[in-house]
Amino acid sequence: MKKKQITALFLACTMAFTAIGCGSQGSPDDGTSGQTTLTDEKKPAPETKESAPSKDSATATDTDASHDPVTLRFMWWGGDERAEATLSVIDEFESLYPWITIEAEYGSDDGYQEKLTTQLVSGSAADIIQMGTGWMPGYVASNPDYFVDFKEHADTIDLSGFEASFLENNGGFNGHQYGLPTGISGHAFLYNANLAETIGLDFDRQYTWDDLLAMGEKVKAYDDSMNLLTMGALELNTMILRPYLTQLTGNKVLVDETKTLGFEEADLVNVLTYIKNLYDNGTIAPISNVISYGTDLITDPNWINQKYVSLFSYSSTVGAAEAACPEGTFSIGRLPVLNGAKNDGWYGNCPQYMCVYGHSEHIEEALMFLDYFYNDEKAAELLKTVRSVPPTSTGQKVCEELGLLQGVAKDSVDVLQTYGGINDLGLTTEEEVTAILEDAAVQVAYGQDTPENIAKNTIALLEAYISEK
Amino acid sequence: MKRKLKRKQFIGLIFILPWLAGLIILQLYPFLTSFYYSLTEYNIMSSPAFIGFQNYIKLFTTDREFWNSLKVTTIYTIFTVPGKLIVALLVALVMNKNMKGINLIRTVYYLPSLFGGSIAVAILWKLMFQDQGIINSLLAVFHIPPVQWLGSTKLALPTVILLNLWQFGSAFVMFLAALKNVPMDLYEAADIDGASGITKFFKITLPQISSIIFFNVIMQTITALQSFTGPMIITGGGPLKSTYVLGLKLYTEAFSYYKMGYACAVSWVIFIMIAVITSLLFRFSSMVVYYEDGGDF
Repeated sequence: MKKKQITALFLACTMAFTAIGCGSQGSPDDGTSGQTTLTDEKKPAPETKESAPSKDSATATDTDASHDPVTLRFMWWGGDERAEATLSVIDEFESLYPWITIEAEYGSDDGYQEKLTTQLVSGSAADIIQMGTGWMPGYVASNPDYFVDFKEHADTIDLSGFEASFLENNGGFNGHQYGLPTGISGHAFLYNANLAETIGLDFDRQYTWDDLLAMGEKVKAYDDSMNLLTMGALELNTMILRPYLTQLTGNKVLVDETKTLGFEEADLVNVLTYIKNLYDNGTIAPISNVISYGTDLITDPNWINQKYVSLFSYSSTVGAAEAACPEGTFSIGRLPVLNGAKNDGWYGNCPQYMCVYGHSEHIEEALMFLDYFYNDEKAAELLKTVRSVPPTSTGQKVCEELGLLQGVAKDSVDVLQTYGGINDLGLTTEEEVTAILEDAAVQVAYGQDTPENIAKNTIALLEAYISEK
Repeated sequence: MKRKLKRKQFIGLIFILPWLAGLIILQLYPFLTSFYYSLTEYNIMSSPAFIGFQNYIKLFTTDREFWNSLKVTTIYTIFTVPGKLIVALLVALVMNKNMKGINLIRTVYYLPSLFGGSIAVAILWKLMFQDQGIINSLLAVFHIPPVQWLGSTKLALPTVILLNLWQFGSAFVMFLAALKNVPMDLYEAADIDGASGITKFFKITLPQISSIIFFNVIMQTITALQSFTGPMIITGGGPLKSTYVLGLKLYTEAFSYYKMGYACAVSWVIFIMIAVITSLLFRFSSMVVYYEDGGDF
């Protein structure tokens, strides 16, 4: 009987632990957090030296026998090209520092932020994190300890390769450097040069929003089945509503310092009416035709078949838009600016940040990797422009030598640098505010209500949002 | 004897311990704590602050999105549940016939449900119904202009419902089993009396399988009220929130806006809705459901 009881107890315990094991997220260091995890074979375990090596002492001549093995987790999102390049850099780094293993956790951006937030809160975030620029202000406001201040580790990571003011404006928060920009990028206007020439459109001169409207009419007159632009909810907000409002008022949509609206109701009515006009005269393809493509507008066969003359995109993605339509010849145009604008509304920033998790057990090693990632010529050669134009002098020099700093991505950065708009990251780019603004633009696009009523409702929602802050 | 019984009970308890632990840790604890969180303002990055029933008050008084989601979920449920059951029953009636290769045909008809509410099927559905998708390409063959299945605020919800109707497999299997259990002598007696096929269906078949219909109604209603995957993947709740079911609202509040307390309040509203509807269905079941043993549990 006793034997049976013991057997039953053993079986029960085994099953319970198995069940718990199935649901486990994994500890920060075990690398089993449910993501795609690719690792090299583990290096032989060394025996001595507890502390992490400094940058100076860590050279290619180090052997794994002199260090404790360290496993880092590095999470990012992106396509295959970015994944391959990043994995190659990891391989190179691991061969230089054999006691460090980096587990790659990568995939698409779908659900990335949701996962990252829960990981940060539960203390299970990766050691090295690719971070969305729009999310960072919210994380820093809620708990700056989530991230390492790179300025406090100047002996491990060399930041001199970054242009100082660019670095401060991209990842700098109240004097702390919690993020490092992964590239130089921003909004871009990509157009089909052959089509534009045939129709008689000029995007190389500085044009206004009204000019854009007129050019839309020209396209319809040329071929009624074509449109000047294709735009989804995201583009309507980030490429028209926000820059237009900023040009009109000189403010961000929501002013972070005062936690107030940066515009009057009439301003918003003005912008929404403009968006309505873009749809009414066929400048933008009907929203009901493109909304199901979400943020993948370049997968729309109409883009591939050259039914749309142009689209608003980002420096980091214009290359993909160009590649999606192999029969087209593309150029980068200037960005529309209002007559008498109080602010340019367009600004150069970066596509993402790289951060080191503040509660990582291996901060030094994570910083060593980022130092290699940003400052090593071999790493720059492998990474090319997979995260846009490199932000460091080393990266730019290598890409220049390889002839990579040309084409639409580079052109878009050059164009962006001629604008000096205010960076509106902060409350304006918070998820809920983004959803409110996108809803407003989409309602206009569908003609669900008048711009006046939509503006009223939008302001009420934004004020309710601010009141909770 | 008493001691022996206790020991037996103890052994039994050990055997159910894994399930019990799972229930307590993974279901009961989150269930109870979610109610506490629904009474708090909680963004998961800082400690929850108790605010009483403010989340519920806001939900019912100022949140217009909630009423829209409730409406969408109700429409979704009203069309999905009867629609799926009718399709499942019709297919089960056909599959109940004895014909060559019937087992293979039954398997083929069950296949869509093996994929269930999976992401892959939802993505496939999205690609099929996109503006330039295969459905519109097929329509073009017959010179029918393209339909904006996912772009139209009027058609997006029916398109999402259609995916659900297609996945009728589990209800179909239960109906098939129930049909097999209908006593043949009842049909034989009806044949002798000269009853038509329709009369036999309404007077014999339906009453005999009514308990299974009722079970399916309950299960499908619960599933429909909790729907998430289809609307999330196919339309993301759009266009203009026309497919923004309560499950999506819950997800958005929790994981996009990090209003965990508010999301918990939404989840409790869904739970109460399910509980009320299920108990109402049980209350009225005696009027329409036939149990051979009188229905006493």
